[in-house]
Amino acid sequence: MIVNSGCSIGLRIILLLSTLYLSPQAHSTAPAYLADEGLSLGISLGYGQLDNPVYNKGDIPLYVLPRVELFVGDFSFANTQLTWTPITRENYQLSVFTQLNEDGLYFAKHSAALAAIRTISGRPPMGSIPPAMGDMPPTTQKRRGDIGSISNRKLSFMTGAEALYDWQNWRFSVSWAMELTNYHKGLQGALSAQRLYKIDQHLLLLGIEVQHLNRGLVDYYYGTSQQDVQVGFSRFEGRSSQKYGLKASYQYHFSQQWQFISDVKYQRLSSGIADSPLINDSNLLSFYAGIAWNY
Amino acid sequence: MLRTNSFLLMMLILSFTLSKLAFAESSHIEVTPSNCVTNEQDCVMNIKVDWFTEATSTVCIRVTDQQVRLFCQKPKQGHNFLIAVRNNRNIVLELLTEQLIPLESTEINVFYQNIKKRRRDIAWSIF
Repeated sequence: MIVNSGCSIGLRIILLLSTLYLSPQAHSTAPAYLADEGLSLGISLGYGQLDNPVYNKGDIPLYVLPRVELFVGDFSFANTQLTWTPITRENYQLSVFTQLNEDGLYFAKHSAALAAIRTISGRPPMGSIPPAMGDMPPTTQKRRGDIGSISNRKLSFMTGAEALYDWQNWRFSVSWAMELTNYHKGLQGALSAQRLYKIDQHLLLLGIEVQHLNRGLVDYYYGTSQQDVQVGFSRFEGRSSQKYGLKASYQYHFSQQWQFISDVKYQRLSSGIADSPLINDSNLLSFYAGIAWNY
Repeated sequence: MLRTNSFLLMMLILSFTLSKLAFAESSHIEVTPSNCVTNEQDCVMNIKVDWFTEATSTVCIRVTDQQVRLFCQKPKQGHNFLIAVRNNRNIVLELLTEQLIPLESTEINVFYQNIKKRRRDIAWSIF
């Protein structure tokens, strides 16, 4: 019985992989990008972490993820993200959105709870770095001090527009957003492409993304102020920067209510952020795997 | 005495069944449209009713939607009789004699359509 099960799973994996590589357009992925109008709730239990790139700030653990989504007419609300989509056509859509800025999470007091709520909103947060250890050799010319005494960086909201274009099983996105809360007057743009594979109950998504952050945004979160210098950090002025991301999601649907979900994202920060004394590394890895229940 | 009573009872049942069969064979009611697909809480629409019977000269039409409505003194044959209906379940229309004996019935099936919305990312996309 065990042998049979093993063969069956092995066979399924081979079939899955062969289908992925040999006939990548065999299945429609459209349903994965559709949601029922109305309220949709869910909760996931699992294990994961959003690495916190900020020096001496712990990784942000992810154990419980809520999902609150509301689709009404042209409006949708998904956790912390509000979207208005006035233009929807067969292959493209144009949206105006407002969402929590991800960089602020790393400095927030309740970052774990915020991250859990923020992450499911479906926008790629910045990845992160393992926390600095006391015996870690400091990066050249970076001087670090008491991270608990740096000036306060507030959570901010971004608002902007996004255009999505669907072609076969690909989705291309271009977005631009400006800060709404007026703390840093930051601007952010992103280009992304993702490919969906749906075979029976399996769903696999592979994505690539480039984000551009303007100087104001980077300097607010990763630059050092006079206060930061006084508590030991070297002087640093943030520059416009990029984040390059690779993402993979795998889901298995046991039923309409139950599913296995997993996400992993690798991100590389360009030097405009990575050179900050508040940052440890430019290679970031975030992941999560768990069981999700949908109501 | 017992035998006579049993015989009478059997005759009564038989005559009732035969009369119903006779009515059923010669009566007809049809509704257009026969299905209602909605994404609202209730199905709301105007329907057209056609009917015919040889059983009686005048008939009643009973509509069971959110309420029960009776349209009587109708001729034995009718076309395109307009009725507005509203319900969140199937709607029943019956053709009856003036004595409210059922002749024939039909049902409008109510279906709910889930409106699908395009999403920016797949559900449970975490990062």
